[in-house]
This record gives sequence, structure tokens and C-alpha cells, in this order.
Amino acid sequence: MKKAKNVDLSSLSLGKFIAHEIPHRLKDEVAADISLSESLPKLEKRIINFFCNRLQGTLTKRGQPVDVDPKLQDPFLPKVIDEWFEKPKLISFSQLAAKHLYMAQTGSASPGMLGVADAKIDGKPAVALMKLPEEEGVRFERTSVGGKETYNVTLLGDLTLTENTKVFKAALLWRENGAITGLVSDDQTQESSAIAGYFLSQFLGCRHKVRPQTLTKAFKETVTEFINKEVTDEGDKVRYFTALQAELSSNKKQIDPPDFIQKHVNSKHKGPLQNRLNDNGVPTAAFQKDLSLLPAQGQRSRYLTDGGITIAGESEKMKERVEIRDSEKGGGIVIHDRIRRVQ
Amino acid sequence: MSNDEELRQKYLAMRPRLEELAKDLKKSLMVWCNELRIYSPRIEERVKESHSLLNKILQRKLERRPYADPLADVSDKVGVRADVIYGSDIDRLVDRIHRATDVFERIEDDDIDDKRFSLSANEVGYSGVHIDVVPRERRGLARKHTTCEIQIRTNAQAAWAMASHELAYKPVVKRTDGDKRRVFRLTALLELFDEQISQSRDELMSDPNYPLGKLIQALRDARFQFRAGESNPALTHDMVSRLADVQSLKDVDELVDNVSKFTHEYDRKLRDVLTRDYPSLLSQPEAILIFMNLESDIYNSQELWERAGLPNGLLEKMANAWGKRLPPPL
Repeated sequence: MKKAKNVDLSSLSLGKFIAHEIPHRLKDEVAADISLSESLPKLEKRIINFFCNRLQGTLTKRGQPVDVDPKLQDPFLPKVIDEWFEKPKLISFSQLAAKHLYMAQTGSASPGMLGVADAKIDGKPAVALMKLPEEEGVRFERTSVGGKETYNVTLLGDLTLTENTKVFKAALLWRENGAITGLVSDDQTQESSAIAGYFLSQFLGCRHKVRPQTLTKAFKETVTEFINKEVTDEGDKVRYFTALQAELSSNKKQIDPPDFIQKHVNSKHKGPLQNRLNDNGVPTAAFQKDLSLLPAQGQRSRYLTDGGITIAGESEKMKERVEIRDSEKGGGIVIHDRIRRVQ
Repeated sequence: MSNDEELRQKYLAMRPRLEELAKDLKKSLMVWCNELRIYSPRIEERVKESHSLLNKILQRKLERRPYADPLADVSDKVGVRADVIYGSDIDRLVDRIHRATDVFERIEDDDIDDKRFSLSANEVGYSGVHIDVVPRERRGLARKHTTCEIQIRTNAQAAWAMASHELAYKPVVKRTDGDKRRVFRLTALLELFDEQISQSRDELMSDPNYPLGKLIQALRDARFQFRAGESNPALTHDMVSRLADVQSLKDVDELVDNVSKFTHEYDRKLRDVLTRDYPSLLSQPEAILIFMNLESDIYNSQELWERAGLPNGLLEKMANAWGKRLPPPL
């Protein structure tokens, strides 16, 4: 598998920042109907660094390497971004981006703000785009009623980015060897194929550099190889393998390697498995699950013993009837079943 | 050509190789001091000047006990001196040299002259330990010519050695009783100095807060390489005491070394990240310890963080700043 080049997100810094409101788009409404910001706000450096930290978090968690989709004919935003790299005028660029996002988003897309910033990554100029959902919150303010102290509560309906806001749609794009490349986090490409990727595809005009089916295959193969080569305890082997089978056959639409490791792997194997995945090009960010390159196995498990015996069956039944004894108790395999037929 | 002149020419011919031997010896001592974590040693090497060698040979002739083979018998042609702070460092370094069978030929007890114990009660002096060694790597010289002398002293002993050239060593004039008494008092004072400084160190190191304090100091010093300004010392103490693994604090010197290695290896990245003002923890010295942990094993780091009862969100912001994906909470 071709390994996507890693960028060090600690080197990300943001410069000028501007935000535009992206309202809910009703049918037939056009971009001319939205009002856009016309000047740059004066922001403290700390606020800029706050945005930068959130963007780093989003991209380390969900950012996948992307490039411009060659199948799209005359994609709008890549052209605008290319122009921006030549002449970085943030206000006019961000206005074009906001109008384009407004038109690209589907009726079900939630309203929010589009934050756009000029950025630097690994010393290279870049542009950052973040779709920030609107949130609600309450503020407690100390007050007095009838001379007695209490707290007044105000509902804040126009909050956008709080400590707990999840920024799902974000992009960081830069130029490498003359071509636009970057990292994009887009939850919709990962969770619902029906409205797949208006942010990644329609808005940004990009595609994933490494296809999800390639990543899924690499994840499965790397974990299996790790189990067979590095895990010595029989119980651990079976437990990890069962968890891998369950991960692949579950209804979840994405694979999140650190989440898998955290939930199913013992402390001593966590770091080494993560390193092995990274070495084999499987990112630490979550990616869309796509089993199309894996042979259709259903939900079957197959154990090969030292003595050359193969035990195979449906994963659920194997879990129920095949007992793998702890190595502390002498190890070994016990099958709780009866022979129906011999061949 | 006279015998002495012939000797001088021979000595000058072998001197460049003796200088190489001296450098080898100095390098070995530096490695061992580092290995034994001997703090701030001063190590100097020298090869005897030809006039000094000839003087020594002449002196022995005048004393009617001449050297049979002068170039071989003068054992301090190459000398290396290590001055250390604590008396116990001398013992540890002597022990290390004694065990260095890969570097030196077998060292007999007779080869070690511990001058700290060899003076009688009424003798004046305050010296360290001298060891005669024969290196296995001889730089092309004959074995008999390669005996080298290693001197190990405390700084107080070094101070005495320098002063004693004038005050007591081989006096050319007869000293009065008053002078002698002054010199005795002086050596007693130096001995007391070494004893007290060693005792203070032992007490300090047995204090349960010592390892934590040493680590905090190293982190504070490291922070100043990357940003100036105030930090919150109470917060640092609280965070470091929660995050520094009890096991790793047992060898705090290694941990302090790791801080230094880490800041060296990630110098550029730390310069970039630590100068930011969000999250606030970046302004604290403990940010370096947090990044060390994240870099070493992010899963362990998170377990440690949770065991310490610290909020996960804070570690997540630090991981974001370091460009690392923090796994979901346990």
C-alpha cells in the first residue's frame, strides 16, 4: 500500500481569520441571498491559537490525506485555492468559499459558521477551512433578587465553538509540487454514504488519497499479522482476533484504530500495535470502513494449532464453544461440543 | 651524542603516541564519570615535558638510586587527573577503573596508592588516589613504555595540591613550628570541608522530596530554553508529583538525562510549540514532561494521566498541540 506522507500537525499555525455565517439553505435559494463578512476581525493571538488547537485535534482524530479529484470537471474551489496561493486575499477568497459551501450543502446540512484562516504547515503556506455548527448553552450570572443573592440563567443560542463542540468538517490544504494536497475531516463521508461527502467532494472538489478499502484491508492484515507474530499468549491471540472480526463485521461505518486498540488490546501491546499500523500506512485518524477488498468470510473464525489441527466455524459459535485456557493454567484448547459426523 | 641527549631524542620521538594514549585515557574517564553520574568532573590529561623527565632522571642519579631503564621506569610520563566534588565519587571511580579489564591490563592492589589513608597522623598533606595503569591499546608503543598514572581527587584535595607546592611540598627553607601548625590547620579544614559536603549530600539525597525537586528543577531549566516569563510553581509541583512515575523517580538522574536528551532531540518543535499561549499549560515547565510521555508511549501516557485523576480534555489539548492523536479515554 502506498503510504501517505505524514505531516507534523504541531507545526500548524494560523494567521488571519475570518468567519461567515452559512444559514440553512432552502430549495431555490441562491448564494446571493446570504450576507457575508466584509472585514477581518481583530482577534487576540490566544483566540487564534484556540482555533489552531481545535483544528489540530480534529485533523489528528479524523483527518485523511486528500488531493484534487481528477474526475471532477472544472472543480470550483481548487481553482480558487490555486489563485489564493498566488494572491492570498483572505476576505475575497473566504467569501467565494462561503458562497460555494452554501450552494454545495444539502438541505439536511445544519447551519453554522465557516471559519477560514491563512495557515502554515511544515513552513509551507496553507489555507484552513472549518465548518462550525451552531450550539446552545447557558450562562450563570450572579445576581440579587429582592436583596437576596441568586444566579440568573441566560440561554445562549448562538454559541459556535465551545470546549466540547466537535468540529467534524475541517480542511487544511497546501501545495506540494504544484498540486493541492491536504488533510480533510468529513464525518459524512464516513457515516452515511447516501449524502456522502458534500464537504469533501462538492465543496472542496477533493478525494481521499488512499482509498478506504485499501486502508481497511491494511488494517485487517496488519492486526492479524501482529497477533500471529507478536502475541504469544493464546488467550490474547483469540481475544484480539475475535475483536478484529467483530470490528469488521459490526454496523459501524468507520474504523478508528486507536479506539480499537484502547478497547481490546492489553497495555503492553497497545504501543507496539499502533507503531506497526503506522509503519504499514494505517493512519491514527479514523477512516471509512470498506470491506470490498477483503474476501467474503462472513463471520467465521479459523484457528491453526501448533499440532497442525484447524478449528473453524462461525465466530459466534466459536466464541461460545471453544475455550482457550490461560497460559497460566497450562494453556490449551477445549471444545465443548459433540461430534455429529466424521468424514 | 651524550646518553641524556639520546634519551631526550627517544622521548621526543615517542611523545606524539604518548599524547594519543593520554587522550584515550581522558576519554575513558569521561565516559565512566558520565556512566556513574559523577556531577561536574574536571578531567585533564598531560604528557610529561622532556625537561621535566630529564630533571626527574637527574634527581634520581643525585640521590644515588638511578633508574635502570629511565624511559620505562618513569611511570608518570602520561598522567590524567580527575577532580570531583565528593569523596565518595573517588571510591566509585577507582572501583570502575579497577573493573575496566577491557581497557587496562590487570590492576594489582600495589598499583593503587590511596594517599588519603597512607599518611601518618602527624604528616602534613591532603591527597587523593593515584593508580598506575597499563592500557591494552598501546598506540604502537612497547608495553614497558606505556604505564600511565591516573590521579583522582576532590576539589578540596586539588586546592591543597596547588597550594602545597609553595607551602609544604619539598620545602627549600626550614619552616617554623608556627608555619607548620598553620599548614596542619589548613589541611584539617579541607578534610572537614569534604566531610561536611559529603554528609550534606547524603542527607539531601535521602530526603524523600529530593528526586521530585531535582526533576522539577530540570524541567524549569529546560523551559527557559524555550520561553521566558513566570509559571505557577504550585501547579508544577502538583502536576509533576502526579505524573512522574514513582518507579522512574527512583532513578531521577536518568529521568533528568532524558529531559535533556528530549529537549535536544525536539529542540525545533519545542521552540515552536512552547511559545504559544493556548492551552495555558504550555507556559508551565511540566509541559515538557507531558510531551516526553506522549512521545514515548501515548497509551501509557493516557493511563498515567487518568490514574493521576487529571481531566482528559486537558491532555487532549496538549496532544493536539504536539500534533498527536490522543486515543479515546479508557
